[in-house]
Amino acid sequence: MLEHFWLGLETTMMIANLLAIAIGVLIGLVFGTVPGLSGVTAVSLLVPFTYGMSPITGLLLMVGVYCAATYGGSISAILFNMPGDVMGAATAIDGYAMTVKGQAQRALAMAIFASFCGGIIGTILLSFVAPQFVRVALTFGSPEYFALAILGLAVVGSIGAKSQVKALLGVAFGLWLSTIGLDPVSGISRFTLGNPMLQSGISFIPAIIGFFAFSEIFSRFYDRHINKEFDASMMKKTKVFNFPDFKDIKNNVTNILRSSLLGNFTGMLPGAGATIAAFLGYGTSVRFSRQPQNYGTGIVEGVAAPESANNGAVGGAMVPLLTLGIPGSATAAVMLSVMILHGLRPGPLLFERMPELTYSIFTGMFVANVFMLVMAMFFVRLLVRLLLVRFELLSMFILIFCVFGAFSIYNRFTDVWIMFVCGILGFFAKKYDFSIAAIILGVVLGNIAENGLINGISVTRGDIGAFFIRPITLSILIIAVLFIVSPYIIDFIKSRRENNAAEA
Amino acid sequence: MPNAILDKLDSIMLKYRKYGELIVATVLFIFFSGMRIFIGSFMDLSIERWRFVSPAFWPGWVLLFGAILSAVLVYNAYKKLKADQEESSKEDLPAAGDSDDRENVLRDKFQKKGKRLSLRELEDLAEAQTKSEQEKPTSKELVRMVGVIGLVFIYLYLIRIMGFISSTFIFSIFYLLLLQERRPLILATAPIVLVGVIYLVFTQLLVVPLPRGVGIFQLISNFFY
Repeated sequence: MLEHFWLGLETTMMIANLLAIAIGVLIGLVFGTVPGLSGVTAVSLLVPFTYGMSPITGLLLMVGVYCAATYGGSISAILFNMPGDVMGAATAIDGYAMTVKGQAQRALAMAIFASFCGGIIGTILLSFVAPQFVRVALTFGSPEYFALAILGLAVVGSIGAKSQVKALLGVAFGLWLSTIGLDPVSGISRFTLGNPMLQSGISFIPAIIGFFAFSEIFSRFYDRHINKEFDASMMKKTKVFNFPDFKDIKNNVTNILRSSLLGNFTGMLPGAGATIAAFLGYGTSVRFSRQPQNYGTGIVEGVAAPESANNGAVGGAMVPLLTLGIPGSATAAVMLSVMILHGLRPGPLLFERMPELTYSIFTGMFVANVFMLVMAMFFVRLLVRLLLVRFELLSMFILIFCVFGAFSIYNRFTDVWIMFVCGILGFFAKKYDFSIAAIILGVVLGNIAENGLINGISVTRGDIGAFFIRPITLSILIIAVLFIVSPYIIDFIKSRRENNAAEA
Repeated sequence: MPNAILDKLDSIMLKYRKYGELIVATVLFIFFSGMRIFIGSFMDLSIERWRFVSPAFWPGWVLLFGAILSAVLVYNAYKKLKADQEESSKEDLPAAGDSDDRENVLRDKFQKKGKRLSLRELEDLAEAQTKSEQEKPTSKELVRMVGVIGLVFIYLYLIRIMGFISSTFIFSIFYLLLLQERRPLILATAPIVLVGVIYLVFTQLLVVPLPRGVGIFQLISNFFY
């Protein structure tokens, strides 16, 4: 395995790949910082650009974006209480409180440092876990893929959602969207209403652009203040090359380690991504701290925990992506489609036949985190300046770019209309608190689930019982069901305990 | 837009805002159950070409799942609506003078399990709630958003006819005008910059065949690319 790491390092150090990582980190920082743009939008818009590159270069570009965008959201979260990316929402709790107390620089320094540590730890874990997991992955057949897809949907439908019913409804809607088009087995068109445009289904990259970028723009126009009043003096006060105090680092070592590991394992679960990891990291940090009541008032631990967790989740999300081909988040789904577009199939065979791809992703993530640390420290002032651009102009550029970005993926105008409709649907989803991540994962995992189901049933010759009795399938499905019902069980136990305490 | 229409829209929005959740839930329920019941009209199930499961197997279960969930959502939304209506009947806070009453009402509304909040904190919460209600979007924002959506729709329709350059140019001018951007410098330079950047990136860097349009617009587009 060591020679594989050398191979990966050699591949990463080629100029084209280094350049790709650097550009990816830069784009990720920009897209992550600006509210309204996110890492998902960035990777989706970059897909057409990867056509001309080798698959390794294209993937390294996206890895750079993924790592950097996960950090980028924290800048505007800390300074203005408006996270640039959903993953930065947990950082805003204590981060903005610190800004109010006048300690913005301390928060920003800890954010980049914690993100860097989370990314590095996540990468190290990824490089060791993924090759081991490949051996288990070899025993996975179609029913197991179906079960894993269901698990991913159960996770996104239960963790971190305000209303579980709404999140599961989003999942159901996304699953339905994935069935539109030609049925892969029998060739019958489903739900197309005779429209030839829909025969190939809802291609999910335009859907992602629509659900994330377009709906965000529409939602902002429905807001009373389009341009949040940003304090321009913040920009001048931002320190360049801001490293946290040694005391802060020393106090947070266990915090960062624990959050990174937790984030990494959360990322490995299909359906749970950086956002959930950030909140879990924050919550666990509160539970393990000696003064939990200080959280929320503006302490450094409250910034270190979510930032290291969400960057750790990036490494974790690559595990199911590379070993099984099951994307755990929307960004991973876009990376999956890039691989497929280049004719690669992630899975055990990928590790066998193209170790230079998989191991260069590991080393590439390492390099990406280093680049992210350096660039973020250099460019933090520029990034804050980006936040001051007026939204009218910015949104115009984003709109047109998204229109032609979606068009240029498959050179079809249908995708543009899909994006537009998804934008309107996404607006309503956002307005009424439906989780958009659930819808997107429904679209992405729906195909995997249905293929697994149909293929598995063919293998067991129509016997659905034999399908579900398989040990791995059964255990994964049971875990999925547990995820869905656990909030209700926990509430039930809690109310019972309170009743008993009241009676006693 | 004339203020009379805006005011009327405002009052309609205010009156029907609380029904939003219920409407959405009902629409979803009708959608899922309708699709499930009439699944045969959306796919051609008459021809038996499949070996083990029909193509309606998976969508059928998904739609059933969605129908059950949206029924639960309708029920929840209805319950919440009823609860909110009852609560709004005891909405008014007693004046600051009767401190005990006021504190009890505030505590009823805002006290969550856990830390016992002081009177000051309760009042802050109440103030925050009224402020967040005042921040809800009004008819002006509705008109603006619908205008943007409509403009984008027209633009997408016109790209195929007018080609990329002409349609994007005109779209960006109307877009900025719609958003009340009146500075002539921006109105003049932004469309050109926009078209230029997109042109460079997509035709030179990505070599993507952008739509050219028909007729005279095709001539204009061919002049550039």
